[in-house]
Amino acid sequence: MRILVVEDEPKVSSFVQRGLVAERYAVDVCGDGREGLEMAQAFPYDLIILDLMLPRLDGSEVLQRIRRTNTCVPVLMLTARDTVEDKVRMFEGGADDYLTKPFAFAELLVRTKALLRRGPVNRSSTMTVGNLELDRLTQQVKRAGKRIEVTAKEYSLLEYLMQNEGRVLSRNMIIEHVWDQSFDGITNIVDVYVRHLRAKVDDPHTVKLIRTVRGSGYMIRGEGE
Amino acid sequence: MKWSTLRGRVVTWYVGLLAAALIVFGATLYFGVQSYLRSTLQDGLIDQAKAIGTTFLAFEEQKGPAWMGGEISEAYAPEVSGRFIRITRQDGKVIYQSGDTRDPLINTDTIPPPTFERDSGWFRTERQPGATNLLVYAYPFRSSTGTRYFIETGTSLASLERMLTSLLDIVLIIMPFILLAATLGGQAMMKLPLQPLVTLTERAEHIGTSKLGERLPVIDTGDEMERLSLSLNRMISRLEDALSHNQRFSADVSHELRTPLTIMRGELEHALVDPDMAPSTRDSIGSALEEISRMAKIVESLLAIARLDSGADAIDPHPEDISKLCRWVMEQMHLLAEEKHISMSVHTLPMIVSIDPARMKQVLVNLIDNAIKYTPDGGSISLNSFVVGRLAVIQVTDNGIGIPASALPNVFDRFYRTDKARSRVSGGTGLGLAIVKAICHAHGGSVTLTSSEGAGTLVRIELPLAAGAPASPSPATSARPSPVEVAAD
Repeated sequence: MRILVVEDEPKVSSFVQRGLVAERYAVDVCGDGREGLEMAQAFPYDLIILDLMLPRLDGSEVLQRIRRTNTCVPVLMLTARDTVEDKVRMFEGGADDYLTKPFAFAELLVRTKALLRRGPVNRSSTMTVGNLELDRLTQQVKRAGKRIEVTAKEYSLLEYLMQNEGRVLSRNMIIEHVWDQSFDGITNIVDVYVRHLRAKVDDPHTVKLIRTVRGSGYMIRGEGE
Repeated sequence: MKWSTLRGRVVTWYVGLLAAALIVFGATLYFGVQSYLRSTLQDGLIDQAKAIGTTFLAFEEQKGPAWMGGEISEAYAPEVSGRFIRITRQDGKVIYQSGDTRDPLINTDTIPPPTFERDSGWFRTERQPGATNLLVYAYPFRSSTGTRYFIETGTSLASLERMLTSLLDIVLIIMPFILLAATLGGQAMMKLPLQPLVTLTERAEHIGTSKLGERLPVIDTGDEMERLSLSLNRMISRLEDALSHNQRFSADVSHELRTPLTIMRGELEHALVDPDMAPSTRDSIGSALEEISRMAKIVESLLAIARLDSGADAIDPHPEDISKLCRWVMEQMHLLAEEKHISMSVHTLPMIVSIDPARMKQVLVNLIDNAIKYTPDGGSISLNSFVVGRLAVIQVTDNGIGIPASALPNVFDRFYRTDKARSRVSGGTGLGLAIVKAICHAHGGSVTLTSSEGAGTLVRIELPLAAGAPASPSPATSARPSPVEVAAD
């Protein structure tokens, strides 16, 4: 999988590149709009990560020109602007997704994988992490074969964690997926629900699946992985 | 006439002054006319008395009282002159007395005789019961033989009194009419030059509550009004500049801070990937990441406030049932309260208000979150909504630690914290209530906070009801809302 990162801030493109390379992607980086457009037209990329504010050629202009010749390549926009009009203009211009700065790399990765259609999309009805099982059809949770009663919110939280097994999910990402943005940054609601979920899922067992990653968020991972 | 208006005060003063002037004028006129008429009468009486003395009485001793009586009666017939004449000798004998008159009625017999004590003439007023008052002049006269006489001449005061009475009547009747006309005229006259001021006030009010981009109409009169409207406009311009500078600055700062925050977060997250990292380093980086998250929240919130204030991030309102929203938020927040054994209740009636649901949710979540944060274990929180007149009211009440009175005026300010240490621990951004206020204002509503330290806090949001929504049917209904208990999730 080959990804093009068009970002004028070298430090941003640098850590994005390093992070994506670590995930075994081939990553090209360029620092201005015109060059980015030329590269996008020259090579068959699987994904383009495009900053909105670029020197020489604006990000939205680059996007429009890419879309004239290539309608398939997914484009993820990075932006420091997040008004409703900006977002609408981006989607109208043909963007597939966007991320507002400052973003967590974990979120960029989740969205990248989703756009590359090999990420969190697990359509089988049951998901397992270690000996923890979640059945999407019956909405039942079992650990070591024993049924665990969870509330609707706890179920959504667990489902989201398990979809992204082994990946750190920031509180922000969890809030956006399980609640909505009105809870953003105000409450410790995620921590409270994670605590409740742990009490049901992890406390009776010696192997703890739900992990806290300080400063980043939460992650679910089976033993030894 | 309202005393509180400039027009009312000016007209009242002006009518009062006019009334005082009219009273002084009326009194002067009355007494002036009275004294003029009286002195005219007096002069006539003096002349008459002197004439009688020199023309008739001087010859009485030679020609006899009968001749004199005839002559006087002929010259001053009482029926013609309407005058009273009496001549008394020093021994008290009346040697001439004119007869009674009918119009004006003078009953001569009732007039007391003069006393021979004075050497010069004097006036007196005789009051006659049932007849007109009489002005009498007594004139001492000494004949060539040395005999002393008193010549009394008198005239009725009736015509003088009649004239003065009608003068008084005219003044008293006309004065209220003049004052009434002055009041009405004054009101109308003041209305004209003050009208631009009224327009100015209305427009200024409008500009104050909505857009600073508009300007007041310039009153093109070349007087103080024009100068006032011009200087008000200049003031609004300066305000607008300052405000837009402030908002632009907030927005620019937020944008500029985003890129370095992205880099810091990205670098640190990348560093965490290293599996051989010492736990203490991992912890330090985690701590730094937490602070970056907080800083990012502050930047987001600042930008949100700047946009709401400038109206750039216009809210997207549509009719929504507030009570549904309230219940939803309570359900979502229930677990947080349960953690602290805080009981939560919601009392709400269905009411339709034009709101941006996402924004209003943010407001309610903010307020409930604050209430939970600042209410100790075992406390209680209630969320009520009801209708008062054309306003939808949402109240969040807690019995928590409250806010000191000295801090109350500032709680809606950006970055204001009532207790620095406490707020740092709970990790807030210091912008929660500022956002609440900005959102409420963007909805055309208001938010107020009352609190007493140690007893609890009440936050009250007032929003205009959607047009066409039923207003409060009766105070009784809104006073007794049907209680709705929220079930745990």
